[in-house]
Amino acid sequence: MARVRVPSLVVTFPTTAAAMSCEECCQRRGLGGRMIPVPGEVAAGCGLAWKTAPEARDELAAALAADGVPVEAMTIIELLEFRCYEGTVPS
Amino acid sequence: MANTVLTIDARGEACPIPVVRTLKALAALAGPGAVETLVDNEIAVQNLTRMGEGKGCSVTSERLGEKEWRVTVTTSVALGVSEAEAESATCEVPGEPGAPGASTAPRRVVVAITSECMGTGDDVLGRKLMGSFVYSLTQLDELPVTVLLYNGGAHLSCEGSAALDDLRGLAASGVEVLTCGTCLDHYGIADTLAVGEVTNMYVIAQRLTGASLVVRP
Repeated sequence: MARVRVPSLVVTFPTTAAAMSCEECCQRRGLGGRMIPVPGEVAAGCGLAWKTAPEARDELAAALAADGVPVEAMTIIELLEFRCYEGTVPS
Repeated sequence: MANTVLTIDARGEACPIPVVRTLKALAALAGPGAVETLVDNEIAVQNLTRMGEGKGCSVTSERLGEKEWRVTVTTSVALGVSEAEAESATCEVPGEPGAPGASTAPRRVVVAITSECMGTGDDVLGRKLMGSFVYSLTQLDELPVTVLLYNGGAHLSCEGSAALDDLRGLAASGVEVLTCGTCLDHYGIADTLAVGEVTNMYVIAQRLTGASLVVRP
């Protein structure tokens, strides 16, 4: 198993409550992604962010807007992910 | 009178290597005998002395030069030294990390997760924080050696845990993930363990006391 840097879309929010609302919104709509702590490359300080694939940006933005979840910023950065040598993620 | 004498030249080797090599040599004696270890600093002398006395051996040391000591550890019986014990040998080095004389040996970081929640106050937030913490472990330059999960922390390694994928990735990358068997039984979730191994209190105690750093979020 190796860790590789993968481009990821990181969404930040003005409040922790908004981050939790994003998680609820995505789970309800079946959108992929996960909660992570805000990476230092994106913003200083602490907070929760939503991480997903860059190509999910438009669909996610539309879903959050429809649910009235305020977004602070969307940023694409590289984050470490576990990958098998064959290029698959662990099951 | 010692039957066998083994000599180790550990000069130039950073702590805890002299201790590790001496422990392995003591085990290799498989009976009464002595191990003479040459080292180049007084801290190593102290650590070897502490280790030898802790194993019930007699220990003598002699300064041979400005930067050379010989430590003789003598045993009258065959000593049982497991590979794990030798590999987890630690030593004490005065001063801050990075200070002159500080150990350059790799740290043995053990993460002890004792609850589903990180901190107290709001359990919903606490679960999010713990999930964030486990994710953050995956982003570290140097992964921990072991992640221990006990009491409420045992839930994190079971089916349905939001931290499961991160723990699986850590385990697949060589991190030892151990969950307390008593805790799994207590919560009735033994059948749902989804990553790592079941362990017991002896192993938990060994991992905690053998760590160079224990992190408890």
